[in-house]
Amino acid sequence: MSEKQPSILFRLNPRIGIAPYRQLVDQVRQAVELGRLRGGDQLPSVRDVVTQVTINPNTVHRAYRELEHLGLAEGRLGLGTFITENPGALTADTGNAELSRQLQLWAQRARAAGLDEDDMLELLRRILNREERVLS
Amino acid sequence: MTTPVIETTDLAKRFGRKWALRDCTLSIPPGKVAALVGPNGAGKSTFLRIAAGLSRPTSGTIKVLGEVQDGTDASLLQRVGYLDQERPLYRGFRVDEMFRFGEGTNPTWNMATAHAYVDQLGISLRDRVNNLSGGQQAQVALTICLAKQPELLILDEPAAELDPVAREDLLRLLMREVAERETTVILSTHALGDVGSICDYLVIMSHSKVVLHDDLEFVVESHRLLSASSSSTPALPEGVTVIDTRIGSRDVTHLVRLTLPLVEETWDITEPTLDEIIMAYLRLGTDSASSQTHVSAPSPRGGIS
Amino acid sequence: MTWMAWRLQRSVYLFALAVSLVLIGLTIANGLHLQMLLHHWRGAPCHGGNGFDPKYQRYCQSQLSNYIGARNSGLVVHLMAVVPAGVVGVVLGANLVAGELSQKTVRSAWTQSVTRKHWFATKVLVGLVSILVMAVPLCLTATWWLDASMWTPRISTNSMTYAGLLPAAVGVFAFALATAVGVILRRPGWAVAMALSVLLAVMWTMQFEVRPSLVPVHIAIIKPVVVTKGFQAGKVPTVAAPDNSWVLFSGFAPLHSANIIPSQSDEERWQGLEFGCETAAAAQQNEQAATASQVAHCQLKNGLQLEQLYVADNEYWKLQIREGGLYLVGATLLFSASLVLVRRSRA
Repeated sequence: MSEKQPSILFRLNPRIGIAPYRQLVDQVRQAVELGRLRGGDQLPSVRDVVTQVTINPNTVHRAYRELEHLGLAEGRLGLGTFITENPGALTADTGNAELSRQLQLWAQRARAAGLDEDDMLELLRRILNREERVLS
Repeated sequence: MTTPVIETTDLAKRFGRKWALRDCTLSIPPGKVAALVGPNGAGKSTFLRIAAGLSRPTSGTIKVLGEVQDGTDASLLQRVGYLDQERPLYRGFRVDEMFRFGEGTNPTWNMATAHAYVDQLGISLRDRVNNLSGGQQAQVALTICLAKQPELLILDEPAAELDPVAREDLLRLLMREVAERETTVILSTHALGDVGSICDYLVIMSHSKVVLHDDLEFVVESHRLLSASSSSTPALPEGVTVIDTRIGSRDVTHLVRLTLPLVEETWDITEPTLDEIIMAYLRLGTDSASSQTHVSAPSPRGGIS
Repeated sequence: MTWMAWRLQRSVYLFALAVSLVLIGLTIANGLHLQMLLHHWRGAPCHGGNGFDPKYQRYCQSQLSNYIGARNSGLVVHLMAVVPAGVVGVVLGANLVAGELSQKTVRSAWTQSVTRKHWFATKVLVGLVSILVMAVPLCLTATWWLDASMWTPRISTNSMTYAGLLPAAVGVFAFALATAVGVILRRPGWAVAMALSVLLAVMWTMQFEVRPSLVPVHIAIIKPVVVTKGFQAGKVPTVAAPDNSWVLFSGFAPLHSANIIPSQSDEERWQGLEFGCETAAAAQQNEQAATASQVAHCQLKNGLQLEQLYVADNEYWKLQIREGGLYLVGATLLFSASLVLVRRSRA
């Protein structure tokens, strides 16, 4: 086994009901947002991930594909998966500043209407569910 | 690559007058870690034993890795690893003697792998298997399956009765094997948490029958929770099959399987968790289930659990 | 696989082997002791050309009773080969499949890369070789002991099963029997009990029902010779079969009867007729000479003759091979049946 410390230590919570691959994607995204992962950093190999957390290697593959799809990471043949050089551009804070601002406004109005944090998330989830169905 | 690892047609097994398995038609694609979930006595072990060639079906056919499995083909036996629920090891044998047994009975045996695994787990080759803890015995039994280097691993409740650390170690060992050798795994389990984290294919059995088998991704996508106020329940939309219904004092929640894309505005729709879906199927036909005829007592928590 | 088969029976087998070596040692010691006592009795001064000097009578009689006493106290020694061979066969056989079925280790064994046929054949072969390695020295020792101790004629019922090839054949048969019973019962303990009872029944049937029809039985008729004078007047000779024969029947039977062993009821009926002659004669006369001649006359009138049915000593090896062969044929059938069951069996 490699002596190198992994760039990110994944965690998995089977109880929160979020698909494991989504949890991995979210954790990478968060690490990029917080600057703990930078462009060019190598993500741990699938083999290393499955020795860190008990997870199906196919799920790790899927998460990495999703990250590539999102433009956050890129696979380099025979070398592994790396964070792309300018990942910050894709995160919510910069790329979607306008949306973020609108959402802030909406959140203020919702709070004024008496909704707490959970209510807002629930509302958002329902809307997204309906949205997905319309799209499919 | 597209040959299913297990393909059954109307597979059935009867013990005396009791059917242990009925109308079982399914096919599991290669490269998956498939979970076989169901209550005790649902026929999981019977199915796995038939797949491993230990037992012959009363009727129906089973193909494993493209070959008819009847337990008489040594080359097929070589391609399949089986770990029994009871993890039988030879009493009085030392760990190295168990490995010698594996080496003597398997041409593809990899002794280096076997030694490396037990070494990592802190088990000495000189230990007697009876003196090992339950977790260590399971590790040794799994190591024997892995060192055989099969294409398909059939594991009957591999992590049952193990303490959390031992089960974590065991499942990690298994996942590493899947990552390195791309072994297809089918395992039965009662731990629903394992299904979400280590599996990507789901087979649910209940009352000797397969009630659901699908890719885990599609399992969640093809199920929805529909809820509405119980005073004005709208008609169910087209293309849904109700799996489970929970009735509260104010509202009704159905867990449904979608056969058509849902175009529906009257019901309040949420995506169920994997656990909810599995539980709904496991409740199917049991006495504790909220019946679909809407006559049972309201669930104390109201709505979904 | 061979190593595996050996490893599974190792401890039981090595124990049995040690026991059998001890038995061989004890049997040789006992045989040598009996030989010495025999030598004392049959050698000078007790055994000369014309009997022995009356002054040694007490000495010689005590030598004879020493030998008889030692022989009687060593009554079980003649079982030293057949019992260990049979028991080891039963124990190894009962554990061969049933042991693994009850421990569930068949679920490991039958899912490795060997077919059940290969698995079964290897185990049977290793078991057979082990049993023979143990049984052959036992057979040799038992054969030597029966000869050295002048136990009984080697072909007689009291010797036949216990020496020659038969203990080994019984061991192999016991192994096959216990294997088959174990496959059916799936519990080694029950299989041992069941196989032992069936084995005893088979051996009894073989000895008393089957064996007499395996080789031709000869008849020897004892002519009623009436001795009119002397100390032994009236006695007729009682032995007509050759020395060391196996005598199957000795008594009265109708004249010109075929050389088949009479049934119990016939034997009693004829014995009754003969006894009638004797009581009738005894009622008429007190003198023994006259009685004997009248008895002979009465017997002739009733159509009875005194006869012996026997198998001669020179048939010994033929009988050994035929009976041993039957056991081996039985073993082969039982192994085949076991294999069929093993291939169909649920683990």
